[in-house]
Amino acid sequence: MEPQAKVIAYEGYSKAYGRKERPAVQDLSLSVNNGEILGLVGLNGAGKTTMLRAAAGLLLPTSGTVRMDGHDIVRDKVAASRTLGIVPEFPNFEPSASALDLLEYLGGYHGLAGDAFRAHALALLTKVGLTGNEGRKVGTFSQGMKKRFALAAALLAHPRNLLLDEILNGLDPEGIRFVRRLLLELRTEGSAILLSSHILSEVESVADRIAVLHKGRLLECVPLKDIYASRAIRLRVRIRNPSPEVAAYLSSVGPVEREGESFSIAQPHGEVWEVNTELVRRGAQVAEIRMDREDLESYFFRTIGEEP
Amino acid sequence: MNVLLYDVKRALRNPSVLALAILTTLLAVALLGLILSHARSAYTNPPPTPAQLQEEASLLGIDIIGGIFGFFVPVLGLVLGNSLYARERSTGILDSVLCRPVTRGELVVSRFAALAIAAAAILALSLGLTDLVALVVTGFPIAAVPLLAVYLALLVEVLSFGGLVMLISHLFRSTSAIQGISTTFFVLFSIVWYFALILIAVVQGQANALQTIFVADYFSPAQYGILATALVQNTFLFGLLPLNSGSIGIGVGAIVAGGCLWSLGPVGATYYLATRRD
Repeated sequence: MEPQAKVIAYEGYSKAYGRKERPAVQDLSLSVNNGEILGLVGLNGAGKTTMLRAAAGLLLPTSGTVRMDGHDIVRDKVAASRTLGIVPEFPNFEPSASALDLLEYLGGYHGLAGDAFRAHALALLTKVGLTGNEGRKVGTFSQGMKKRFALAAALLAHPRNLLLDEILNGLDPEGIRFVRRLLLELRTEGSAILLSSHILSEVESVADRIAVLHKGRLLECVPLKDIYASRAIRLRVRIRNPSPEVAAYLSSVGPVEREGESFSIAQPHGEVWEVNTELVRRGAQVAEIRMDREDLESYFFRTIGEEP
Repeated sequence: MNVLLYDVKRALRNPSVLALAILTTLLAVALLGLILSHARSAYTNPPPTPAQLQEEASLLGIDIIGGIFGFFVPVLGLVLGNSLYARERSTGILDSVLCRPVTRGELVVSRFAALAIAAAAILALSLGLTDLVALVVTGFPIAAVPLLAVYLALLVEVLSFGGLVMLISHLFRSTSAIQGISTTFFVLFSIVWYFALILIAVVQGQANALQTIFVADYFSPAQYGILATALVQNTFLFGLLPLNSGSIGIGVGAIVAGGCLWSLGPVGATYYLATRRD
């Protein structure tokens, strides 16, 4: 059967680890399209890792399905896994194997072998910054090196779908920059990427959509631009000679909170330059004027209904 | 195929596997060499006939292989099953493979196949060396059919214990629990079983006990070496006790059926659990 869509798709997915346990993930439905990065955010225990492990076929569902390019990861595991690469939060590989040997072994499961594949594996190790460590045992790698190796292993068979669990944890600044660039490059090439991370600013810098997971339930899954549009904003102005005329004007811009020379206006009508022009025209000496926007962290905590 | 060969090589390079194989082979080779040399010296006047030498080589060779290897190969099965599957499952290493284009069932079968190939190679080499010693000391090798029968019986022991440790890893997740329970199985089936049955024999009297012992041995995967030895030699307890294997419940069909069940039963149960549980 021809796959209907080349995406990562959860359909009514639930997973409980025990009969009496609260489901780690409950009735989850969402999809990641080709050429899209979906940022998955949530507190510890929200179910992010369960979601990613389920999509990789490492967990059997309690109910529902996960499909990779239309292939059910449980019923059609081999076809579904062919299109998939995963970097787990804590990569765990055979410690006694050398990096290159292990890549060759894992490539064997994709039917890849021979000199051309060996050259590809070496190029991948170079690409992820592990040049010179080809013959070194994976067990001797640092956490950051294991993450880089896991990335090489995930990219081994040119997957169209990528599952990345806290990929930035344990990476140095150079590694973080490398991963960020790689993600954007893969997105351009048409990969569907599901990225889970605690570092919200990093998710914000690459994701097209944000999914908020809380206590196993999907609360929101919206485009980042919609979040930007709906974010709470506040205009902050400090005026050295605040006259009643200026105060009246600021009241017309939005609800004002005043503290001496400082004014704070929630959800103001108009842009900074417009307000500044009007203030100057009214003879105000503007010492400071800026627009504060709610960051992703504030949005996240507002969405889950908890204070940071 | 590349994956299977890599797993086989990995199993054969495992230091514990190598140490166990070398230790067992050295023990068997040394013991057989000593016993055969001693037996040969007893024939100095008159000198042994070729037929006598050939019989000595086979009888003692099979007894020592069945006894020494029969005791140690269950440990080989445990070590192989642990290194190829259980340890990787308990530590999460198996996930790095399971996310590849392979089903859970295929992974169980492929690792078990690697275990079987590695075990078959180790046993062939070890038994071959033991046979070589018999050839050097007596001028005659161990008879082929009995040697093959004991080889297959030992393979049953390795496969069943390898399958058992794979199965245990689906019931318990911690490495220490898997190792503890595996060791308990070895002690129960290899040591307690053997001496408990000897005790029964002493209490019941030889005539009634032999049948009880050998019928009971079908239910222990560690006793197939002894069963096969008894079948091909018609002796028990390192040749000290002659017996009529047919009259006490030892038969080719029963051994083959029991051997197949023990070889494939635990791995079959592992397959069932692997495809239905996380």
